[in-house]
Amino acid sequence: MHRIYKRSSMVVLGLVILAGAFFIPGADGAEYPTKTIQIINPFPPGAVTDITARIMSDKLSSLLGQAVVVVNKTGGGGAVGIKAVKDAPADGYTVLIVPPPFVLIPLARKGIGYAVSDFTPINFAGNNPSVMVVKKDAPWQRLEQLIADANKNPGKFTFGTPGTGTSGHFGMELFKMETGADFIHVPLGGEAPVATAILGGNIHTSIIALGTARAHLEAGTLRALVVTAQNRAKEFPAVPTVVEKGYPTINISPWFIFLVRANTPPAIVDRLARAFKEALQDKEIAGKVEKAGLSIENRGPEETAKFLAQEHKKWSEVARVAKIGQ
Amino acid sequence: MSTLANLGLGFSVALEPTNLLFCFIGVFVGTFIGVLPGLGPIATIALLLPLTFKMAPATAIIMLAGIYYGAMYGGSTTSILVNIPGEAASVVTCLDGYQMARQGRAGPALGIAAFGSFIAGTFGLVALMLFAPILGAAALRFGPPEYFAMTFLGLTLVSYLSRSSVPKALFMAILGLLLGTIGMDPISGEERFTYGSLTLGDGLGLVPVAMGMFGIAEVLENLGMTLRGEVYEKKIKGLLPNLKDWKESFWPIVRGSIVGFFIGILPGPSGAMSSFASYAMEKRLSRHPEKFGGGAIEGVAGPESANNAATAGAFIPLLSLGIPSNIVMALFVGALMIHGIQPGPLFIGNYPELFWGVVASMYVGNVLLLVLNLPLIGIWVRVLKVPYAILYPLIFLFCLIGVYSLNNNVAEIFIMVIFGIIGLVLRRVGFEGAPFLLALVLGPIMESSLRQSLLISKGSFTIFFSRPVAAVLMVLSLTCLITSLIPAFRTKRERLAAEIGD
Repeated sequence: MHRIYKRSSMVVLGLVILAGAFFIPGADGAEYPTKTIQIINPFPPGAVTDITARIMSDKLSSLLGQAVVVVNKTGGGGAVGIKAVKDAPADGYTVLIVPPPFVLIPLARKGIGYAVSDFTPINFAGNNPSVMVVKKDAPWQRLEQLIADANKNPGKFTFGTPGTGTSGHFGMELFKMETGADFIHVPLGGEAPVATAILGGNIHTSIIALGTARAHLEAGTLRALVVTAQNRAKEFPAVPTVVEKGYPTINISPWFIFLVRANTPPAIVDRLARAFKEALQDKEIAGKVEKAGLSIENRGPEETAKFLAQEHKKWSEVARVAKIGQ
Repeated sequence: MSTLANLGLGFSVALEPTNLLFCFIGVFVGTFIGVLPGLGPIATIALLLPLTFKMAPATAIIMLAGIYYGAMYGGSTTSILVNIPGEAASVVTCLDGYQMARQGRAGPALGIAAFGSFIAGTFGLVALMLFAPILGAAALRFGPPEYFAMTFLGLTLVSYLSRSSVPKALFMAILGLLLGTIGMDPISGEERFTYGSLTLGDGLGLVPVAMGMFGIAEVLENLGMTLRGEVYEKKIKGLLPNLKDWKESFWPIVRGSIVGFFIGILPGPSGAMSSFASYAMEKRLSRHPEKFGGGAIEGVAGPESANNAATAGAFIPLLSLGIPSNIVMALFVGALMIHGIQPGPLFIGNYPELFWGVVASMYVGNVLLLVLNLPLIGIWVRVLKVPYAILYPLIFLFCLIGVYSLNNNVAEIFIMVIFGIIGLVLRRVGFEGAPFLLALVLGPIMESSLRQSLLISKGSFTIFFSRPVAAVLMVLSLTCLITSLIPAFRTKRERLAAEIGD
């Protein structure tokens, strides 16, 4: 008797929980957020993308009143995590942080299962300035010398990238298109092997993140020919930018953008956008992400959408000319 | 002398109460996650990273490093007790460690793993301390041709990884190489054998495959055996290695430490490569190679020492070049950069108290780990007394959780289970997993380094013989190949001669 009573009380409890689940307020933004928000990073931990999200997550938690956690959902060169966000409910509880491969993957790999238009931007956090580097004993002191040399000797000099279809590869193709210089593409499987290969004299040049190159530029083991960003780097004021050199389109520093899936209620997008903007305006947070290598942009949803559209157009053209993914 | 002065400075940093406390927290957490299969240092360090933003940089790195090398200590436990490699580096520990456990010698196996790790860890530190700047430069000599030569040498070791039949081992290695081609082509980016699966685009993950082929297959196989109760000997023979064990393990530990440290300097899956290399070397040098695979303590002592020495070696490219050789090291870069510190060629000179503090803390951490791990052996051994009906479902559950926590990717659970079934079938027909895994580790590196080398040399194979390091490695591997073939020919000829004589 007692046991039956106990069991039926469990059933009642179960029903109450179930009923509760049905009556959780709809995600129209008024009560949002009511549970933990995940920031999905489709790449392994440790890179600037990841560190940026992790630095911001604490502040975002206090701004949104719910825990904000970073989850690395890796696989498929980033596609697994991106698709997971596309397939998550459009309720604003799953946020995506992405670098440029977000735009490049669908161009390089047909039928990947998502498009840039499947997502709504929240915030353009910033970018990670990159530099074109050569080894200290390389003959080229200035960018023009390398371009002229590579023009004269097609198929002689090697250009290392993290892999075919990566932003490094797209960047190299754009560099070739704009300058007419010719290089042998050597895909090395990651930015660390690229840096090692340049330092070891196994490849001639590459464009790598300033964060990776910084210590070697300070020590003089690498030489920077040009910064592939809008502005010169604070620590290396002597290195010119691509804009100054007359190649404004080679502004190819990796960017970091937060998105949610399309069709998320506008009120929720707005709530998130405000929180992300405020988090990056916080002095302490800003100081930390800058130290991690980020040059802050902190742009809102509309501006970010415009920027993404430009990026998409620019890289589609590179993919077409360089025959990437065709 | 200046090294001693620096070390003094280091210990003054490492022995500060806060740093000592966080060193202990680090190694404790590390041991714990090392024991849980699949749950590795990467996920843990990533999770704890934001906590370190508010710490002093030395404290942060001391704790995170503790997690890293602590996990290497703990990683051997499940390999020995239940044949589940928590990471690719502990695969070879399964071979003899688990056999020892089945013979009631789990205690000595765990003990020698702990002592070996301690000795190797300490050796690695001394080497790190003395040679970091020089070896950093040496690591740069490893370009694509050298990698190819090294993986080629690695593959010639396959025959030493077989317990019985060399042709079967070769077959498994070839299978490993073939399955290693799954995923994106490293040069053209084309997808190969992925059948539209995004997860397979990155290739078969080592950990899911290793956990499946060893752990899950073991659970499945033992399901049959437990009914007859023949998995473990009930009697536990000793908790610590005896004098004979020590005698047999001494040189394997020494050799494992040296080999592990040098392989550790190289980027890539150095933990796994170092333990495979050490195992093959011990079997090659052993006077009784037939004992390997049946519970030879050398087969535990060598590889366990090697993968711990490799963790010390892995710090060298980070601290002297600023280049992270694996994801854990990339996380350390992140932790340092938050504090405005950039690891690189000037790091040791610019931040002596940080470098020496971290090195000194690793000495302290190694001692803490030994003190922490030795008493645990008694507890772990008792785990084997848990009834199988409870133990195996639990193991299975931990494997599922562990493999999911790697990348938060459900597809990897399926990969693990599928390889569990494949592993079971292969065992039934007498094929072994270790050569397969070695080939799966080496194959992708071998392919991409071969093709990168040929891109750099514009198609000429002389690149493998014109560079000194590559040439030495190539000659070494060809010698290995020939000397391992000669005995086979000779015995055949002798047998023929004998037959003719008859």
